[in-house]
Amino acid sequence: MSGKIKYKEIRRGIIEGRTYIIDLLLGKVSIVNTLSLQSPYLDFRGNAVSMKNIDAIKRIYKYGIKDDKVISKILMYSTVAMPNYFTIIPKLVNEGIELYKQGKLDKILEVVLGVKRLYSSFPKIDISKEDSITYALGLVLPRDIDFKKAWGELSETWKELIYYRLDSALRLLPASAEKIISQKDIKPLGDKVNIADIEPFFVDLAEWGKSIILEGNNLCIVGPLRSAKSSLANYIYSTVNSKDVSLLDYNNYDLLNLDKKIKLESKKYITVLTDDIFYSIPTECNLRPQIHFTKIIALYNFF
Amino acid sequence: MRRIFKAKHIEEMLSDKDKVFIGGLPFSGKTTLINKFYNKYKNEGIQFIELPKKFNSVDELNEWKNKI
Repeated sequence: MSGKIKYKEIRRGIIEGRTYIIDLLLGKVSIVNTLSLQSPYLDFRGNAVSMKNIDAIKRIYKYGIKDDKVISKILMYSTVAMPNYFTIIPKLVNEGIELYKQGKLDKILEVVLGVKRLYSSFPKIDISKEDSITYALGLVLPRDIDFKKAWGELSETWKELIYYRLDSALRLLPASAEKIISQKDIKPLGDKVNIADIEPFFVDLAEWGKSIILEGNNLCIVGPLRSAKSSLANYIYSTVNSKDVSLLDYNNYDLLNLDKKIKLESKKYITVLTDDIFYSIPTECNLRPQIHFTKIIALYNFF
Repeated sequence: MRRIFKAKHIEEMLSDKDKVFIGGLPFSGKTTLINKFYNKYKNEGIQFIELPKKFNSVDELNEWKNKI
């Protein structure tokens, strides 16, 4: 075996970098010199490292934190979700634990849940304007906060994640957003955040699902019977603006009516389906959370 | 779609490619994963390149483009 590996060892290499930097260097995307009207670059492709929810929960348990509400808040602090990808950031789990111990987690979470909207649903803005960087940031920051104070309390890790998202979404030379934000005043203009009560095992899936629907897609939550699909759907539904979204749960309709409902639905929908139903009636879901609740429940019992 | 990367996946990828790109968000555990790979597989002949996080100019970016 070792001989075989040696034979292939010529000029082999591992290249590590942030996804946007890799995309730039491979020519998949190019930077804009002046901000253009073209739509933001929100793709996320390639081999991306991720951390599982369960590994984060184990880490939090190790620190003696076993209250579900607190665990969920630490996970909310450390999960980053986009429509096509989500992960927990390991460094943020440690920060979340530390902030909880210092009694600062609740306060900072209001800011963090705001800025996370840059990832989950990038603001729909006219990015031809020069101030679009500061405007985009302002649009996700809850309007009742004092920017200077909040920014001062935000960790360097979170700031870096914000700079990274702005650079990549607006296709800037990496480091540009940081320079601009440090020179300009930001006006928080965004909606207030709502810190919901949610089970730890749902945090990443819920944030991912929310991101899918906020980006204008339908969301199909598919899985085995009694696997908590409806709870997840209800949680997501309660955190988005229900004026624009319908909730269609197979538990509330017979098959023919559900089929009709889905066909005639004019709004974006969150639908809850079993695997059988998902394959027997047509839906329009580009993305579908792969839910394996049996596995999750097994691990949950482990504690 | 998202999958969880493990050190063994890097090994697999290297068996059919010379260059493997490992990406992700800032602080997502890229270096930790790659260190695990090196510790586990002791592949000394495999070069490791860490891309810069920031660039001062477009020229600097282009220089890196050529390197890659």
